[in-house]
Amino acid sequence: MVSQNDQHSDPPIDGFEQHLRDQLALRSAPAGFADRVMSRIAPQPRRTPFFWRPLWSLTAVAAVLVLAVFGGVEHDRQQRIAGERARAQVLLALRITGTTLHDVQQKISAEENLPNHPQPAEIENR
Amino acid sequence: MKIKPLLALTLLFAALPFLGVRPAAAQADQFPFPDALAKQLAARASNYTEVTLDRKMLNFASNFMNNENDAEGKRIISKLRGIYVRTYEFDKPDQYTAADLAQIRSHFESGDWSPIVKSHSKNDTDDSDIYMKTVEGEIQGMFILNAEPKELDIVYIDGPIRPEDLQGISGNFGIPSNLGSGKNPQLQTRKAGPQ
Repeated sequence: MVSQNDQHSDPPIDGFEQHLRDQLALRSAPAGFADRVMSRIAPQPRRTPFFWRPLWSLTAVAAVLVLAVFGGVEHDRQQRIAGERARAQVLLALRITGTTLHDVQQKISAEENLPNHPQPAEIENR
Repeated sequence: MKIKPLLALTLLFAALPFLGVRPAAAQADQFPFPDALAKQLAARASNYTEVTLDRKMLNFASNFMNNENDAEGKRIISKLRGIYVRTYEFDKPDQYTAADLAQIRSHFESGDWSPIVKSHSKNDTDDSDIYMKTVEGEIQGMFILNAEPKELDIVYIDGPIRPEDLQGISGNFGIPSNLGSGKNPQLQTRKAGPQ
């Protein structure tokens, strides 16, 4: 059992502490240590991202070109379809315009051929 | 050849279409025809046709009008700002009212518009109207309304159109060959007086 007086007194420098100080003391590396370490480290080639590698790059370029070509062809096809539809609508609009004008003309011609057709000034109040 | 610049250029080229400003999906309809009325008429009609072609669509369509038969039509639409057509066919009469017709006509009864033909029946079920828009002596638009008991046709042409244009497309689009040539007295002598 340790008495209270023993706890407050400085601990003695025993052999263990001396050993620890010896071990932790600053000491130079052995001669040639750095060269040996460096020689064991093999020079690592710098790794480039996979997409910068020639094969991948060429593949990506080819894929983009193929997509661009097919995209262009498809875009042209869609434009042509839309254009044909617009053309058909224009022709339909012109045809309806023509037939509507024709109907109006026919209607007025028929009215004029009536025995007591109104004079132009009377048309509004017919 | 270095690969990196080539790839970068290719990717940039591929992305270009997506960088462009896309045109508006739809342009505002310039046809002064009430939407609500159009929907009502379409709902009552057994068959209807609506053609809306603004200047952009006309220009687009003209790129595809390369047939010999389209030449005249192409020439005419090249000057126009729009063609708007509505036709409604009904199974039975009385599917539109005089108020409907008045609402349709209202836009064309003021400003630069003047009636060329105005033939109205008492019950407003057999009416014909042709209005022309004249600006500084030039025809800049035409509106045609043809109402029959079971049919209603409305045509609005926005832009310069001359009688010669109508004559030019005669035969191709159902327009009588003597229309607008001066040989057709009906459309000229039946000019109604001012409103």
